[in-house]
Amino acid sequence: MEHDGLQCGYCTPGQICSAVAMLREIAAGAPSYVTDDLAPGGVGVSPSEIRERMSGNLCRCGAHNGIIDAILQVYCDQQVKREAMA
Amino acid sequence: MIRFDYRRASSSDDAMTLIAQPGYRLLGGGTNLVDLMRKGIEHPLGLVDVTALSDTIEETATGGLMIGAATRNSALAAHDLVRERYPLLSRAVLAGASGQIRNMATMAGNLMQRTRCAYFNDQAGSRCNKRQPGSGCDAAQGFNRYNAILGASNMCSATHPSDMCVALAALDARVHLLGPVGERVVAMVDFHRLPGDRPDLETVLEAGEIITAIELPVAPVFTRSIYRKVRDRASYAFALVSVGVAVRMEGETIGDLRLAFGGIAPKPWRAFRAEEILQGSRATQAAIDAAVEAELAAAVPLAGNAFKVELLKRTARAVITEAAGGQS
Repeated sequence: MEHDGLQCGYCTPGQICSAVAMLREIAAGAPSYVTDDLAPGGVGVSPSEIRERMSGNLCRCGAHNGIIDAILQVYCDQQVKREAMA
Repeated sequence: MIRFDYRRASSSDDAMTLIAQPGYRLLGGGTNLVDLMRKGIEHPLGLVDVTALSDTIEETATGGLMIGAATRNSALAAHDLVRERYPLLSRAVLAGASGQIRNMATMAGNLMQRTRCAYFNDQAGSRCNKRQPGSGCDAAQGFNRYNAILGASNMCSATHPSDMCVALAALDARVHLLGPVGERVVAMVDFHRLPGDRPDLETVLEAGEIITAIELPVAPVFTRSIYRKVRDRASYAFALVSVGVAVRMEGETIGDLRLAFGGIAPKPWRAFRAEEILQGSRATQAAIDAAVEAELAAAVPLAGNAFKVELLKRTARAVITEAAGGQS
């Protein structure tokens, strides 16, 4: 909501499922089309990685930029929590 | 509602027995066949689900890889040995479709996928010699931006849409088949047929034969390999043209070169003629241009896709130059 990551909401459940799965795939080290280095450990989270990996989920309202921002924020918040726990 | 029988095959032999029934088709990830059933283009009486068959990736005795036919595209692309030894293949797979589709799609299904030609996919309103032999081809005078410039016939100019198959063709992959008369192995470059006067026949698979595995020969030492896909949007779109290249340089000279094109022909197009010209030559712009032009000498562009000739030349020039270590 903070990032206007939706308008009509029709695609939102799919966007959320894909975002969760996509972040897990990155954590597991799976490369994507935009990954520069195919070597193990070469995969990280970035706006371009998120855009590429989320490309199978279309938003006809055009909220893609907000969706990317929202995913990045959730990812960063989780990282901060993980570091605090460690 | 579409009614059909559904069976799960427990082994390759089981699959072969089930598929022998008239009107039965093999089902992999279903990312293409199920779509075509919904559109009314495919009408199988029964589906034989083969996703429980081999999905392992194992080293062969000769140092290559044997990839089970049911291996998912995403598992292949992410596999450590594939990324390390066959980066061209990983890159090509990752260029195709979307994450969700790659998670479902299988090796064999990728080979067997049908064309995305608009008229093949428009059952209600179009003539298509591939879908309905002898009915005509509406692509010839219609929307043919995505159609073939090489290897087509006047009956059909549909392209094979796979990215993965382009890399497999470049890497000399072999397709393992099992049929009623036994096993056989077909080179990837010979697996798909050109349309000629039978565009409905797309592969050399005989009735009742199934794909059991894809074999990669031992990986040659390449200096660099690149897969570049040019498309109408940055992701999740089929290729207008794509170029897969792997090069081993010997100083300034090209020691070994593999070159294949996608999006421009009815099959993954291994550019043997261009390879032959470039083998042993210096990687100069003139040599590269001459080689790609020789490969494209037989090109027959259509009204809507003539741009592909120049687009392919420029893409190939850039990709080969970069792979050979020059500035593109």
